[in-house]
Amino acid sequence: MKKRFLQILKKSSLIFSLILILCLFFSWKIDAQISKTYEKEVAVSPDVKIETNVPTDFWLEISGNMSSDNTYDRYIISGKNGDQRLNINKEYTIHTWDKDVVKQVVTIKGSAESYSDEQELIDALNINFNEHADGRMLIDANMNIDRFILKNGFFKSDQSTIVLENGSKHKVDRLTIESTLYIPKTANLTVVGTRNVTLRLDDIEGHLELIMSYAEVYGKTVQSLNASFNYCYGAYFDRVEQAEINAINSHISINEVTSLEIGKQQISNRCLASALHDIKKYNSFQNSFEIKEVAEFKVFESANDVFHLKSVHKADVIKSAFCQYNIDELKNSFDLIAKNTEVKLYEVSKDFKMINMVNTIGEIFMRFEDESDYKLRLVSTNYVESNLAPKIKEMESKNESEKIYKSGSGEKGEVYLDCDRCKLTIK
Amino acid sequence: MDDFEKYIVENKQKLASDAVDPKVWLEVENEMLRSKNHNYRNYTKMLIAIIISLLIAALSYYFLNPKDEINEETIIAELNLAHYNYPQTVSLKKQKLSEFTLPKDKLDDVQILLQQLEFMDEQYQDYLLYIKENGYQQFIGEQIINFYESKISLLDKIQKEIEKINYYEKKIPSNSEKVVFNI
Repeated sequence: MKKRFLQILKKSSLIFSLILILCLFFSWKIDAQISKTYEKEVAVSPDVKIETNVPTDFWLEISGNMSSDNTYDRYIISGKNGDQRLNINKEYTIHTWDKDVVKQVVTIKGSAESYSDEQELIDALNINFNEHADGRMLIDANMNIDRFILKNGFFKSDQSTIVLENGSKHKVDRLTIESTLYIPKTANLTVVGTRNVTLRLDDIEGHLELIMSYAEVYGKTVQSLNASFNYCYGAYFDRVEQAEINAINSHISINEVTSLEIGKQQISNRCLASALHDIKKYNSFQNSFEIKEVAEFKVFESANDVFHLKSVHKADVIKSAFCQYNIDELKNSFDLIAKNTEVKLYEVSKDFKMINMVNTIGEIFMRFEDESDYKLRLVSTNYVESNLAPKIKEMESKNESEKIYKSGSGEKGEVYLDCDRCKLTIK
Repeated sequence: MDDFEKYIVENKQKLASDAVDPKVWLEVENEMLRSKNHNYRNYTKMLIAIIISLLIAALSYYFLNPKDEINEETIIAELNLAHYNYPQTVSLKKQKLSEFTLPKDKLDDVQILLQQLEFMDEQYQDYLLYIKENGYQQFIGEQIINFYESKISLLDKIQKEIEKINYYEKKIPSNSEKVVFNI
């Protein structure tokens, strides 16, 4: 009896050991993953024109159950049972350096059903810098990956496939992509990103063109900027020498800008999911702008935008409707043609030269620095609910259509207001 | 030894050779097998019925599930946004706006804001199209939340601007005809 029991024990331990070995083997097989960093660098001219997309910009084809997780720095697509299938680092950093070299670094991590599938994918992926007919260097942040397909069904587990630009298909279990780009500081760069990306940029001495939707942008110093923003949660810059921004439903913040132009033209069609959209009449709308210091501020077309400007030397608004201009400090001049617009100048420097406003159904608030010396002309036929500081004295007017006031001697600065159906407060 | 025991001993051989006819055993065995087979057939039938039911259910789910019908309610349910009451808020605000009248010559100005509303609605259609083609994804959900919040704040802005227009219209009435605001 005892002998038989020992025999059974021996057999069981042998089977158990075999099972354990098999489990270890398969768990190793499941955890096994490819990891490869692809690098490519080419010498370029210092003023090379580069256009790049962003890592999240490749086509997804999903059929079946999936979930996505759009976190601070990751965009993850998971399959039927919550298993991660695609994991993209949303942070796309474009470094600039003093070398006349463009370098792309892409790290791919992932796993496939078999070792040979993994090797096949590794060998098929590559970095290509294509040249456009107009001389631009085109860089794909996802190398030669064209599409990611995820399929599953009621009786079918996840099947994820990567389709490359040449049409070849590769089955993968999961894939992680991280991409970084290095360009010459003096290069002219265009970034097109239309899907959930956080773009980080080093100093750029060349021209920077941004065509972004649903994105965040963190820029440092930019010499020349032309931006189209559509539903961008935040675009932040430290210093921009010259900027043209056309935006819809976005938030833009710049610490210091020498020349800023808003709504000069419509946002790029490449920002929009459908090129059929008619943006209608106004080039810039539903945005909020936070600008700390701007020397020359010019608005071409703007509707329903909110501007918070800390310090402005010269402001010129050509066409504006339903906007709000909140300016902490106006140094030199402000010229405005608007409708239904609110203007609040919290401090007008005593050295200002000219304020000229044509508006209807609006509110104007102006606080002038102590010892300000200016003449104020109001169109007398307008309906204005005014509240003027006692130091502002009415003068005799030779022109019946105007009421004239002065603060101080009334000789240095000039204020002209043609605002019908307005509330006017001057302090 | 009593009489019965005597009888057994005397007829021992006779009694031992009086075995049961194998045919009887065979009959019993067949009867048992028939009963077993009958059960087996019943189980098989039940199994087939279950499989067929499951197949019918799966096929019905696949074909009857309204995949193409992506509407506001589906999205709201998918996003678990019901507690925000976004569609209801939008509808209430629109209803409120449609009660306003304003001078006809000011309609064009307010039209600027209505065009923004139209543009937003076009973008919303893009979200629906994306969901239809690629399935629901969270980032689209976030964009839809952003859409609703922006739309509600735009509707508030429109109301505020109409109120402002009407405030001045009361102070100094214009000759312009008053029309109902259509939204």
